[in-house]
Amino acid sequence: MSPESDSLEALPVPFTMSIRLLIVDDSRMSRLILQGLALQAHPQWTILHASSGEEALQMVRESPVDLVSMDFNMHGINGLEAALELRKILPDVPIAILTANVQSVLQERIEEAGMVFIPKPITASATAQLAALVGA
Amino acid sequence: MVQLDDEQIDALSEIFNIGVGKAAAAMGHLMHDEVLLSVPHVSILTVSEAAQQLGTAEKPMYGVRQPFRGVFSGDALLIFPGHKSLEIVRIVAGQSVPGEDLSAIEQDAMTEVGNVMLNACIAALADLLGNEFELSPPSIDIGDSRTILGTRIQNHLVVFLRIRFELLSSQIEGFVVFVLNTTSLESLRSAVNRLLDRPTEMD
Repeated sequence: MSPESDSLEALPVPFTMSIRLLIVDDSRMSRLILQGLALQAHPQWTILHASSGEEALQMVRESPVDLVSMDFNMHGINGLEAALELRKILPDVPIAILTANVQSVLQERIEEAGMVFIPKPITASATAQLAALVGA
Repeated sequence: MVQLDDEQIDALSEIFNIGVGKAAAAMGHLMHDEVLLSVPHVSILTVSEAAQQLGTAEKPMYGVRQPFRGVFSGDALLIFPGHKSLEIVRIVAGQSVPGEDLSAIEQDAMTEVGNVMLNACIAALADLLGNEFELSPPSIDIGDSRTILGTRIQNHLVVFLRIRFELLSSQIEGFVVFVLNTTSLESLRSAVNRLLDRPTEMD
């Protein structure tokens, strides 16, 4: 990695900077609610949607994102498996698992993997937790 | 013939009461409303009898199904009257989703309501029993009570747990139902006995 990119990575994300948020959820309603709340608080953000872990991985291979909100129970690979794969592609991007599966065992597994667990339902406070991951 | 004694039924009712209490809290948050719950009703019935208990209303019902596997296995169901579905979607998503999109996302929205509520309930059961449940993505069925209960053989026995709920302001009522396969019954009895501090019984 070049010194330039090192120094760029060390810079904090300014408040006004446009963040590319990738919402991965098989529920379209959940994606729309999270998009609505995120844009209410951060109108400058760009929101991208994926309806499965596989689609999310394909998308980030083609174009990087700054922040990921990932559902857990989805068809195909689950959200944690997708997040672990995604981290190999974008190691520095914060990932939150935003899920209705609020079993303590799962929460521990997600946190042990270094990701943030946010329980559904999706609220403004869940969105604020997500935004805090990029310092917004 | 599989049986649960009064003390086991009481314990089972309480476990599910706590689970559905958590689910009601999640639903109240999602629906911006107070949720009233009935006392859980636990019985061992044939599939056909269970269908009758859900009613024979002519209007179709929405049933969100959340299959789970663990110390015991089965389906958790959230059942709403079909004619209330758009109202529910409007309450849940109305502020975030443009009006013209609401009917387009109706089934998806109902599934997500069930997802949040049933998962909260299953998580409470998992914590209480100290076991993890493996969950598949939820699905939705629309139709009469037999359709909602799924492709089960009508004379098969199931453990049927039913709790009626009512959203106070919007006056929407429905049921949370757990249908457990009786092949899980011994595991269920053992789990209940552990909570009751009883030695595991043998049939």
